[in-house]
Amino acid sequence: MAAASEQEKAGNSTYQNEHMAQLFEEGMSFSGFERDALYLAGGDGTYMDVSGVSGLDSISDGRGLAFGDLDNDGDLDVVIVPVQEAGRLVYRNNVGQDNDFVRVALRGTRSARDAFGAVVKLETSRGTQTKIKAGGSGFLSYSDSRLLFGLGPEAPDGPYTLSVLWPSGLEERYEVESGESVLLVEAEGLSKLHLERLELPRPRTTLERIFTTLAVGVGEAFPELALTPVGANTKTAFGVSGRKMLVNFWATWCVPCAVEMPELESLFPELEAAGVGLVGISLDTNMAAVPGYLEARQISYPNYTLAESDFGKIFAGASLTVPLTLVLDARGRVIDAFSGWSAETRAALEALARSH
Amino acid sequence: MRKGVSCGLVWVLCAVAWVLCAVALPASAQTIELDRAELERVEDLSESLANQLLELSVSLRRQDLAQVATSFDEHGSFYATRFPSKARPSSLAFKWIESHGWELDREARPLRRDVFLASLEDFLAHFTSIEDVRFKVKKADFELGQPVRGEASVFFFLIGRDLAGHREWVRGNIDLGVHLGPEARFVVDYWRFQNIDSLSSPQDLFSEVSEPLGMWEDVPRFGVTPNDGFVAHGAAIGDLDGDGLADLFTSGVLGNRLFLNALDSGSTFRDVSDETLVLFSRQGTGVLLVDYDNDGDRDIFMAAVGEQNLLQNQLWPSGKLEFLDVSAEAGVDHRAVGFSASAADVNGDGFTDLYVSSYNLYGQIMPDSWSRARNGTPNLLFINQGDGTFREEARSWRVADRRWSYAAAFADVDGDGRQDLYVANDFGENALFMNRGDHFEDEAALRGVLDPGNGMGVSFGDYDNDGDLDLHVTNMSSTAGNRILARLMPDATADDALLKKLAAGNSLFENQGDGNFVNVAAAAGGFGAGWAYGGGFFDYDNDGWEDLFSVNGFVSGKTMKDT
Repeated sequence: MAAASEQEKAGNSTYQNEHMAQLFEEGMSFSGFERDALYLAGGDGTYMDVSGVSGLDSISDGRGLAFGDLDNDGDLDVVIVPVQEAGRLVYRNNVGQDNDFVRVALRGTRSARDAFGAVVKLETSRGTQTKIKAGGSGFLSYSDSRLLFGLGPEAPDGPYTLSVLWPSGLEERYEVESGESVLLVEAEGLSKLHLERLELPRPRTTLERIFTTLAVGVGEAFPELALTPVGANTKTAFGVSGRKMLVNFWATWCVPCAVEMPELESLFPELEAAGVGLVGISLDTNMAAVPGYLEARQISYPNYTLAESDFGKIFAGASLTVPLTLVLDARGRVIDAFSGWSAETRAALEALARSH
Repeated sequence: MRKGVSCGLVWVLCAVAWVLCAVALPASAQTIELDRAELERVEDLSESLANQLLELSVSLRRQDLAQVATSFDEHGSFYATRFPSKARPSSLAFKWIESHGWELDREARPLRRDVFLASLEDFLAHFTSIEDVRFKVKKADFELGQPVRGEASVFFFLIGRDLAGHREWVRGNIDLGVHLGPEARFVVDYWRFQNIDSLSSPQDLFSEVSEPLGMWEDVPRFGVTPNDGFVAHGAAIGDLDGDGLADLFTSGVLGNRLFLNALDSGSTFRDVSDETLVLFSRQGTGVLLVDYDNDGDRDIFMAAVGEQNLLQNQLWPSGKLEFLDVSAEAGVDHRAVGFSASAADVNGDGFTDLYVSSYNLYGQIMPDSWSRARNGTPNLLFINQGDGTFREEARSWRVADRRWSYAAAFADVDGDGRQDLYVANDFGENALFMNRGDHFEDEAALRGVLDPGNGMGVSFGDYDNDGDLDLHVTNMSSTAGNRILARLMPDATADDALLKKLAAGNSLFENQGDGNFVNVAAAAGGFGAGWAYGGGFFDYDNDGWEDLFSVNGFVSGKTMKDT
């Protein structure tokens, strides 16, 4: 039987899905690594793209997106559900709470209790804002139904007129002041909500992020490792060496390592003079490639290869975050870590050399 | 049957056609047919230039200047304006955002590579860390001589932290001239910055706190079982246990998950998916928090691929936060390829009704048109009977749309007191169903909101504070991946208006006050937000004006190279 023509295969959906799956399997991107887009309203009908400066511009492949005040501080935080990598991304709004606001919750009586579709207007001397209580919006998502009206850094003099058009057709008017959170119950009145202002956790520092991927923690003893020296260098004691030590994990397949290692090499004499040790540990499983690699880059500080069975003593998960440099104190405890070469890393290491 | 739809992605085909359309002017199918061979060659070249610039982006992000250098002729010189090394003074653009320019060479002049790279090094010295760098080919043209020469408009950006630790976003446009050198690599002939400027934030506007909040969870890469469905990842924020704090519900490959806000007890968020039973209900897509039985607690309605789900909160009257799956008793267990769920009282009886945007089993069933597909599964409208049950009445209400719907939202756009319904469809035009009391009539064309394109997300808000509700629709805008896809789908035909509009990205429709709309996206500055999904109005800075945010990106692979 003749093989199916390319044309026949192309029109076959199973083939399409397999072909697609294969492309993804190979790690291809389809409109990938796009940064999420935030546009700031200028107040004159135009918008300014502020994505890159916002910190909200993740490269994750986002799908669902909901806004809500998770910490009751008066601004909208953001929850994104991406299609891969992270189950959910939560962004803390760091600034909105510094401007004034009014918060409005609604409860229908003649209308359905949810009162979806109710339209609320807040009228101040600066103008009128209009918001809808939405029964779902965006894509696959439902945002916090308590409506937040921003009033800017200096709220205009109150009281303000708050009007609500309920889905039942009933229209009501109330007065509110800046900073108030209120519940409107249809045809029954307004009550003030007393919401305790809470705090979302602060973001992880770079150091904390590094250590979340590691099996060793700050203050813990550097583990005993099955190391094999590369070339003629001598055995280095990792235990109580009596001096500070930098342990650089790298691999021949790691591109940023190739940037970092010559930098470390250039700092090596300075570190030595300051009494700070420096060793490299290769995570290559093909150890044969290591000596040539070091030689080609003229790396003179001591280097080792690490038995794969011991990777788990350093790295918490399956992924090896290299380059990784651990700083050990004189008693062999891990006190700091760097990941990758940057101006910051250089400055920190130079400071380390100077401090001895 | 279409030949060459080998990657099985419909959106992609539209994107491809758009690229062909943009390249071949006038954009008639005939012209494209005639010039195909040359077009493909040009597309191939554009693609390889784009990929080489991606490599450059990656090496610059890693500050691997040796690698950066390989894109430039080692011995000769090229015409260039140098990377700027002197920043102009900053001024406040908006609260919390500053802007500044950079001193640029007035004219390009012949420069040796080392001089050019030294300027790059000086420029990089302004940053203590670099998060991202991109050089994106916006437009490219090639002369197929010996050697092949090309001209490109390139958008450049860098995101990092400046010496003060402030987040900074540098953007610039570069006119680039190249020729094809040995080993099929492009060599730079000229490099002219048209402009370059920076935004920076003295205070971080947003911080990602998923992990310390206990919300981070590893998800397998897309394409790897069980994560091989397309877009079933929803989110809902609202108080479910009645303590006045916003809780979080998410759907998707990790299952139905409920996290209770415990920030008031010094804790973070608590995963109660198991004990509240939501984990054991069928996996949902779009999520709604809705008190369908008006009993005072929030229940959960989830659209689903398969039977739709309704989970009744037992908080009232039993006091126990537990969700009973009442889909069958309530009569919502209709089958659909459900994505978004939307709610409003469409018949004004005081009970909330539910609408499900239904797609189709993409891959098993292909859209019968890329621009006017009508072979999706019918959308559902569940009319609340007021006794805890629903009746599916989409047909009699004339909203059983079969156009591969992705998302919908209700609002009374014409002020007649009835909830109208906007529905975004993936392969073509959208619907604005005007509520006539006992049925809906689609007036999208009449009211200016057809929005041809790949509609993904819908929201209503008053962007100009004139008292009426405007409409934001997320769409797909073309990206770098399009070029290769053009090669994968050679017989894609340019379908005029729809395909041109794809470049525009998200739409912002201004309500004229009477429920008629005008798309003001271009006048507002343009929202080319990539392959966008969720999104909408969001006054993040509480200044009283609705900002706009949308998430995007179809699938990021192991490499940044597209397909």
